[in-house]
Amino acid sequence: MKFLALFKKEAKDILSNKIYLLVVFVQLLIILGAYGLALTSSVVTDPELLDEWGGSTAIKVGLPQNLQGSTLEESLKNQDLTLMYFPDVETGLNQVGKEVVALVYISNEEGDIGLQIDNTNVFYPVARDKINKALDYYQLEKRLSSSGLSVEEINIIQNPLDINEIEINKESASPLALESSYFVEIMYGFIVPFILLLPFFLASNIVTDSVVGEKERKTFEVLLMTPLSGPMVIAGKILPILLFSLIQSGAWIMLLYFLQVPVYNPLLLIVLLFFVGMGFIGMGVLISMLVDSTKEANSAVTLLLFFATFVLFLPLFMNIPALYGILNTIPTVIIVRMSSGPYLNPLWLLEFLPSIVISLAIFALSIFYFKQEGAIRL
Amino acid sequence: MEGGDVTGVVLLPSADDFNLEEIKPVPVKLYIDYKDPKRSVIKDEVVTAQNRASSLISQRWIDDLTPPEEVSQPEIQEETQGEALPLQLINKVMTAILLFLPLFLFGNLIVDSIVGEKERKTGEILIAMPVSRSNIILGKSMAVIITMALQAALWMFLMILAGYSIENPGLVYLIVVTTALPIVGLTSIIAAFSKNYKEAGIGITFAYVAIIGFLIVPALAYISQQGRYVSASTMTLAIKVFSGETLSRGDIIVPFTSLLLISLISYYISIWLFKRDDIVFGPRPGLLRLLFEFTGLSKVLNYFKK
Repeated sequence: MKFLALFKKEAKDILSNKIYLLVVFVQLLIILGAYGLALTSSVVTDPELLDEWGGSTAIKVGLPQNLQGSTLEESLKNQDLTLMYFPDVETGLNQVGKEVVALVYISNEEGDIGLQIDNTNVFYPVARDKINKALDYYQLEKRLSSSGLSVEEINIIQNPLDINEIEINKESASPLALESSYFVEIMYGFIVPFILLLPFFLASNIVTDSVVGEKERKTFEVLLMTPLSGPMVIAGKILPILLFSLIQSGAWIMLLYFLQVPVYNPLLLIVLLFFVGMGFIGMGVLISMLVDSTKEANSAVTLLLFFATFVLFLPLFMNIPALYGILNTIPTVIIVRMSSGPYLNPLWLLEFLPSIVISLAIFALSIFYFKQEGAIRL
Repeated sequence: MEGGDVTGVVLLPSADDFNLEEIKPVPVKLYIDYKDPKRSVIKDEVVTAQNRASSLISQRWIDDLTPPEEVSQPEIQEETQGEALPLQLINKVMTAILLFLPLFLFGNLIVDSIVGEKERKTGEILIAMPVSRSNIILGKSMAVIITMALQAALWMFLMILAGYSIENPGLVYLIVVTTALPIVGLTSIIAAFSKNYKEAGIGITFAYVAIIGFLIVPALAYISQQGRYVSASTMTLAIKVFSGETLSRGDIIVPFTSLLLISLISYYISIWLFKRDDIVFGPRPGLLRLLFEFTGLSKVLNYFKK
């Protein structure tokens, strides 16, 4: 009952703090911003998606007027490029980087092709890809034109592999915002674990405010004299914050589902996040025991978050087979694997163990230092 | 696939179907599990492999039909112009960010200076001195700006030593230091308004995110559109100056005018706040009430109430 009183008091403090609620709103903006950025960059770098979204019309390629009606013009049009015609090559070259991304022209009497392209344009990768495909077809057509092959045969030569895609489980297909490998990789490979851990970065600050705030307001000694054991006091302080953070993570999972980025195995993820959160908040309590002011606590938490970010997110970009045993136990790696597919390998649950052990150890350490601090102060 | 061990399966044709002597499509089947969102990654990898294999098969057929020594095909001579976007981001934007970084690292100095007076209860002593409140704010701000200027000079010197190419360093330095004026002014507003370090810290975080966006977004837009717009922010101007590009009148007038305006307004507001006893000593009025009083709307409302 006494524990519940402390729990309720802490919960009320959190929910009545406008700053914490504002930070939740800021997290929402960060999530939407990251999602928008992933979406935009995926479309801009994928020629097929750019065509689908009508972005190809922004890619303008210049041609001298004397190439109108030629096979080269046709090849470029087949790539959904918008063509602009210039009276001569010189005029066209002057407009590269201004009106057009590139100029394609016949550079000499042998019929060689000149391509001047603006490297600085944001559509450069897609434009180059499309122009190269068009030029490949043009070269092929030129080479084979004397061999008497039909257009159909030339097409087969250009695309010899006929891939027949057979869709399995189409009726229960996961809704995806964008069918793009870049989007899937960046969302599930980095943004989803980042979003799910965001509330816990805030939680470290909340707990230090709570505990160090007691010291600054001189109510810490009063708290120590209450008929609550050290573990009960720590639990009473930690649990509301942990619950607040878990509810946020749950809300972000629902938001991602709404944005058509389904997060799989959400319940198991919440269990993992519970222990990761306990670790973050436990570290916050430890820092609170060692410092005397909010300013010191904030600096220490900033350093803690810096190292935590390094330890948690760097493994996502590492591909060292010798370290797979260790890397697979990092919480963010587990989150990536579990959230990105509907299938669950029971062996993955064993990889929770190091996170659970470390979190419980940090919690035990925070209780030890709390008792020590209590002994010093009383 | 049913157990989720694999998301896709590629079935290649049998030896009988795979005959490169004839020009006919090579059938390949790709089974994709649509339940798994990683399907697009699998498809992408298969397409990459398809392109590589297709290129080898195509070349084999082309060489069989038209041996290279018998036919000449048009060569492609590609020339690129300008610096690649990723390189520009590294060379120009990162350099600009490093130059402007000292301005954001010292926000805590002004917070410490103003909010610290409230927390340590030394505000009364300071106000009791024969120094006007505006001079207090301006004096504290000047001290921080000088510290930022020294830091920016040191960083610039180290960057040049490290091999960074910075043309017109004097002008670039002037741009960086003048950008410090409104940043310190805006930080002073937050510090003057805040009751404690925690509030000030959170306020500054939001303010700096907005300021950094205001500086960096026009710079990124400039890099991707290359010279079509005047420098909307001082960071864009700095990039143009240290890259040795030609400046138009608009390039100088627009950012410096906005710097001057923002500086004047921000210092005016921070001094106005610091002059109020309810802000310095409490109880602090609400933000809306302050806004009404600052804009004179409260007088209008009181007039109509009468």
